[in-house]
Amino acid sequence: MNILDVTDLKVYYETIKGVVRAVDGVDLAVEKGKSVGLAGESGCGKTTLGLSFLKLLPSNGKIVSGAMKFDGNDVYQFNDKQFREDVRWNQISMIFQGAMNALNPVFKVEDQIAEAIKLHDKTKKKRERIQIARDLLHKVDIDPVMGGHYPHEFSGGMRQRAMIAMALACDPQLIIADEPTTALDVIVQKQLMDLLRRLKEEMDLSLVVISHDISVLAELCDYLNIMYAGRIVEWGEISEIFNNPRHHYTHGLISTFPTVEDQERKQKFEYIEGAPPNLLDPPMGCRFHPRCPRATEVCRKDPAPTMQVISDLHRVACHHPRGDNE
Amino acid sequence: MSEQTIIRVRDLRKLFPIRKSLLGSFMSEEDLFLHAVDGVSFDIHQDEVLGLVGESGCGKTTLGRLLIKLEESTSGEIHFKDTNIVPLSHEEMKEFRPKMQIIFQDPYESLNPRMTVLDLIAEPLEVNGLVENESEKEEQVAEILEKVRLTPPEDYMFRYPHELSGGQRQRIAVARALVIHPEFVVADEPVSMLDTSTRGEVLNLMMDLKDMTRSYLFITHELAVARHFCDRIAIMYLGRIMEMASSDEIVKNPVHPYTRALLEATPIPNPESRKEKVHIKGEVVSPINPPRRCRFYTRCLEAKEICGKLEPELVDIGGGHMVACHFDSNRL
Repeated sequence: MNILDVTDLKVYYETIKGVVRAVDGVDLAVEKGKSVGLAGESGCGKTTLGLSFLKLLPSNGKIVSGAMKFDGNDVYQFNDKQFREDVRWNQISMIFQGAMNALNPVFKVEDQIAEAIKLHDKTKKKRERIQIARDLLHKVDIDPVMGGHYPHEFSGGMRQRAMIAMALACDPQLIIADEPTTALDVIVQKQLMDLLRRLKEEMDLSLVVISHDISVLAELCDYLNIMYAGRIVEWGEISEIFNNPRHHYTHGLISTFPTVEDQERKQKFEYIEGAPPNLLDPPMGCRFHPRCPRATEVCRKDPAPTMQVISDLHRVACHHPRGDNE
Repeated sequence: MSEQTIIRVRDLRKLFPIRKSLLGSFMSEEDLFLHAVDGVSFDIHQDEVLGLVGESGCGKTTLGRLLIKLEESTSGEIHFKDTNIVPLSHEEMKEFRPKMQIIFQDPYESLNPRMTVLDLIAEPLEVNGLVENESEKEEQVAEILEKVRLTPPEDYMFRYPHELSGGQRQRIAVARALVIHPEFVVADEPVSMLDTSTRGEVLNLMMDLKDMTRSYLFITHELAVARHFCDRIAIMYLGRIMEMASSDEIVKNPVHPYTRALLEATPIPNPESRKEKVHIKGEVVSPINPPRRCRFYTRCLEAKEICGKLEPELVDIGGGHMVACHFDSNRL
């Protein structure tokens, strides 16, 4: 069963230079209890997509069209108050990018977690809220006593854990984790990934993990969406995507990623020629065509390729997809 | 590989004094120092790329800056070929400056936004008096732009950094460092700000342009990049080198418990090789006045009594594989 179902979502930003089409017709589903990755380069719209699940877009960002079903309810039809009370944080919460700096330096950590509970659940008393905050800290492997301390007394890894505790504050079903481990050292990153995986199992959480780092997604996710220039270009079960990528962009992303596992030293590094397009004026047709090794005339023209079914667990939007195990 | 040594570092230290509180100075508290680099020795040979890998705060950037004297060392020696440059004055260093260059991490910060590509690349040529006139300058800049594949050069020369993508900017930074044919280049996390899809292009360039320089110190926090880019890798932790060997040896036969933890923690872009827990405990301790013991003592799962009392030296355990650990060096 899908806990989240997003169809044909379009999110545009009004800027002085024109309309930036950050998310341009995205379909995305999250199965209950599963972890879904969203991969792409900087500026491809993945953070915007994550923010729109919570309707937390900046003031110039507008959800232009599309529907979002959460647990069967069409939650984009809710008014702001209803959305805040019934959906945001109570059902869907978020671990923000740069969470290490997202805590307020002048409040104790447990008070900040308790505040999140207060805003979204008015029935609980203060003592109850603090108790929940301490239990949550314990859950993310922080000594509950530390709750009475200030963020500067926490290490980077601990601050990130506190942000995870905050995301768990109202017992949500779905957590959006936006670059949850970026800017952390590898050992701390690994420990955090282990924690997220454990919490997901224990609390039967669903996760959307947004990252530019496909090795992090390989460790954390059950399914993977590859996003390019505002659109999802490939979706599939995680091993299927890594072992048998069909989109040339996906293949490029995977093969450009160096790994310590290689037996031989690379003589040359692979890379994808060019840079992602400016979303003020994205190219016609398939948005990847200016960088694609196999682009032909049909790719340069509208309409853009639509999602083709390769198997139950794999779909791709490409006119000339790579062959089976190519 | 030629065995001629370009850089020879011996027992190098950099201690940053920590300011005491007013009360503390009246009460004559112990002087506090942050030991950023604390007794490091290694060589970089001609035509070699040495990788310096470690987590944030381990002192790797400070070490890079010491080597080209952007920062004064507290003690120790840095020999550039036959000259110890540590005691040299600002004036005396001028002779050596054109022979050593640096590529900084962030191409959004390191390039002056008010200078054109031509001026940015020509600056090191002019400062070092390597060009006579305008046409010679443009010629040399055009030549290096070709080499870093920003072609045709005329299209790029008069642009400003904000008109370029991150990858293109970093290629300008590479051009700027290599245009005067230095013998030694410090590359401080040159690709960590770039998307993985464009990193390869910059790394390939640095590799291809090896003939314009002699050797690199490649500083990175990513073992996976170092594994492929570097001939040898030194693993640094809290101001000390823990292990140093060829990059093949480091990934296939890691000896120090810290190196092994780093390898275990490095994510693999392959869902089938999800790894078990990392064998390490606790968190990085403070580099301020560290006690004389193994720097990794508080986090090591294999630590014994001696590790808490004596700091292990970096010793060769065979074939140039150097390790600073009481146990592994005995065992092998």
